[in-house]
Order: sequence, then C-alpha cells, then structure tokens
Amino acid sequence: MQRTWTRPAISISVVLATLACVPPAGTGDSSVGTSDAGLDAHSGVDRQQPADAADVATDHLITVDAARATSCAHDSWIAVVHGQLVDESGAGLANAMAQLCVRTSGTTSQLVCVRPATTEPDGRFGIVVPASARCLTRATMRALLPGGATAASYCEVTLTGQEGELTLPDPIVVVATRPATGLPALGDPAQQRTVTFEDGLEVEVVPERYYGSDYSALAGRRVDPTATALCFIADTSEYSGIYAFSPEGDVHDTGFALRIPNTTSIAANTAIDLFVLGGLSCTLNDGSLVREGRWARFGDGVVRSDGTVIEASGTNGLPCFNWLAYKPTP
Amino acid sequence: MRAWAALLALLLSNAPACLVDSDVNDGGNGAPRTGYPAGPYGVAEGAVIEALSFVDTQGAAYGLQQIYADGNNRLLLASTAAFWCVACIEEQPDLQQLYETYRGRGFAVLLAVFEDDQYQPTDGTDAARWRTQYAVDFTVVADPTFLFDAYYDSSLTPMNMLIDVGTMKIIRIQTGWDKSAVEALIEAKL
Repeated sequence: MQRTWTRPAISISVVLATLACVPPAGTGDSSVGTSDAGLDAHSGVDRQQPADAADVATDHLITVDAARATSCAHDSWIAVVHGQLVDESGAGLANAMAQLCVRTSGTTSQLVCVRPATTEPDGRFGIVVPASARCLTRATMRALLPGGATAASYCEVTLTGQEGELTLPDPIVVVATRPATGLPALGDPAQQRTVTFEDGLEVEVVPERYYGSDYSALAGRRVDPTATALCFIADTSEYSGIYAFSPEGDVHDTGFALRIPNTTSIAANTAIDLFVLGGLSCTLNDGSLVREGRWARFGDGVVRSDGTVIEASGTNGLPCFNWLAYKPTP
Repeated sequence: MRAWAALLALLLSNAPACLVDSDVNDGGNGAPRTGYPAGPYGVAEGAVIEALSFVDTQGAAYGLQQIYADGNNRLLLASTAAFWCVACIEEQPDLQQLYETYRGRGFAVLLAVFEDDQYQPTDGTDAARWRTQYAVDFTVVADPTFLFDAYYDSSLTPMNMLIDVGTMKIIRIQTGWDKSAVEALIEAKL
C-alpha cells in the first residue's frame, strides 16, 4: 500500500494557538500532519513529523542528516539502516519486506517499530529511522516475503561502535518453507490432529490454539545451517537440527506435542533441549514472551528407545510456529 | 508594542480553554449523547477529532461517533497497531490492564489495527483475531485505509492518543508506549 506524507505548514497562527492550548486554526484538514514537532516531555520521544521529505527512503541509496543529537551521548545513534534480503541461493529478493524495531534509550525507554521498507529488485533496502528513535540500545530486523511461503527471519543488529548510517555486514537470508505433507482438513478446529512435514516431523496441532494467520497454509522444513547463513545462528554446529515454519504464530495454552526424526543419530534415550526463536509473539508455558531474534529453551525432549524419533509432549510442546532448534542436553 | 499587546490578549483570551482541558468535559453519567462535536476538525493535540469510522469485528462500520454516543465514555485511548509490530503486541497487556482498572470510571480503549503480518490492510476478521490472540476485551477495529496515518509520525508504530470524549478533543498524541505517562494522564483526567 503506497502512502505519502505531506509536510505540515507551520504558521504563526499554529505557534500561537499551540501556546494557548487550543486547536490551531487552519489545521482542520486531516491531510495535514501534526504540527507539534517538539520533544515529548512525558515520553522522551519526539512526536514529530517523519524525517524530511528528502529523508524518505525510496531506495537503498538514501542518505540523511545523521548528526548525533547531543542528548544521545552514550548510546548508539542510528539514522539509516541499509541491507539486502536474499534467498537461500544468495539471489536478491525483490518486493520483500525489511522491518526494524528498536528500543530507544533513556529513562523512558520505549520499543517502537519503524515502517517496513520494500526491497528493490536486487533485494536491497534502506530504512530511515525517525529522529526521535535514533538514540537506541537495541535493534532487531524482521525480513519476510509477503504472500510467499517463507519463514520470517529475525536478526539482532550489532550496535557496538555504530554511528549514523549502518550497513548490515551480511545479507539477511529469507528461507522458503514447504507445505505440510500431511495436513488434515480444518474440520473441528478444537480437534487435535497430526500435521506432518516433508522430513517426517510430526506436530500435534489444535488449529483453534494456533494463532498464525492461516492453518491451511501451515508449512515448514528442516534447514541446514551449514548451507544457509542465518543471522540468528552464531555457531552452525550448535544445534543438531533446525526447522523453519510459516505462517508464524503463537500457540495458546500448552504447546503442541512433536516428534522429530532423529536424522543425526543421537543415541537412544538421550535427553534433548528444545528451543524456539522469538518473533512477533511466542509465549512460553510460563507466560513469558520470547524476545524477537533470541533463542529460548522451551522444553525437554528425549530420543525414543528405538532411536528413531525425538519426542516432546505436555508442557514440553512447541510454544509457537516460527523457528525450532534442538540439541542433546549437555 | 501593539503586537505584543495583541499576543498577550490572545493568550489570556484562551486561558479558560486550558483550564477546561485539565478535566474531561463530561460527567459520563450514562445518558446517550446525540450528534457529534462540530468542527473545524484537526489532527493535532487540542483539536477536535473528526468522526473517523473503522470496521468492527463483524465487518460493520464502527467509529468515534459510536464512542461519543455512549454517555458512559469520558476518556478514550485510541491506539494504532499492526500484526507485524512487536512493539504494539508488547503493549497489549498494559492496555488491557488500564482498561480493566479504569473502565468503571468512563475509560474506553479503541485499538485500530491497520496491517496484518503480511503487511496487507486488515479487515474485520483480523480485528476479531487480534482480540482473541492477544486476549483483550476492549474495542478492536480494522483501519484498512489507515485513517490515523494523518495524526502522527506514522513512520513509527504504535501511536497512542488520549481523547476527551465529551468534546472529542485530542488531549495527547504519543508515539511509542509509556505506560506511566499515560496512566498519569488518565488519573489526572478522570
């Protein structure tokens, strides 16, 4: 959806009216942006208009006045984030969405999300961070190909030493998922059923407790991190297996039981640690929300005595469809 | 000198408006209100907001006119959200808690969801899904044409706006979520 923003005309009457705590005359036209560009004394966040018209990103070549604010002496100051989204072959991904959410610094630190940017034909993008949110303590990217069967990638941005314009050091890989090979018809959404994925992974799904956008679109696959550079996998040998799912969605109440094919031949009866990657909303059994871009251990599995499958059930079930990883308990 | 005198006169003449703004301008006695505050309408703090209309969870039109008509409503927190917005999702428990705490005193919440997690405009089904998914029982509507876009720097989400329902004047527009600041304003206004 294309949106435009019109720079507000600030007039003497607006200034006077603002001083007098009354609606400024001549701001009745709803197409006019807010005239108050001052620092929000309560929140510490500017309620200002978007960055100058020249700042609005239309391509990855965008540049802005990135001068650090004097009030941001100790934290990172990021005005623009440049990067590229690619598929697993390394090809640029056109019309994908790159999104940035940041935690602002200060005593009233806030989490805000910057309007997503659409990638160009070569997958490149530029995101302008509004001035009010440039002083920050953390930033996380989300990348996705809308309408396509892709898992959302979440990448924590390294801020140390960053100033002004930040170019992500590596492309963000957007991973394709594959439709579940065994997906029972929706039927009674309160009924538990076994959903099977291409490598034999089985998840006991209750559709009414799965808050993805569409049960019928449920897709997933095993991903080899040694073949695909994923920004949220620091050490490719850390996990025994990784799965990507779409559509991303939380699981309410107890997680879904799962059976993972033991393709890496972990010894029978071995205890397994299970992890999920935090995204939009992934709630663990204790009610805590997994932070986006971070792995969280959610339960224990065990390799079945015949060695074929890793099983997890009850409170050890899958708490959300996003990214799943596992490894033997140390 | 004459100009300064005129300015001073203008400021003084508007002083009562400031005093009125220190409290919501309605008793919230439950009697339905008729009509809607007259314009001119504006998009900034202090302005009267026009009767924006959204899409409710059943797909029907629902908006500020209905909120104004409910005489129990005294103070409205209008908030924007999108399914892709982690910041919006994280503020839902706070919104619900504020709603539960203050609704008995005339506090209403209107959450307008403008895009789904695939970045597409929302509909009533999405509004219903939001209410269920995030376990909130205040009013959630779809804002498929992003009407609130005009009211704040929409390059950042979420936006939170406090409105005096008696006058439909915008009291406060805040980008991001600062619960303590919002709660302090609610306490001051109710």
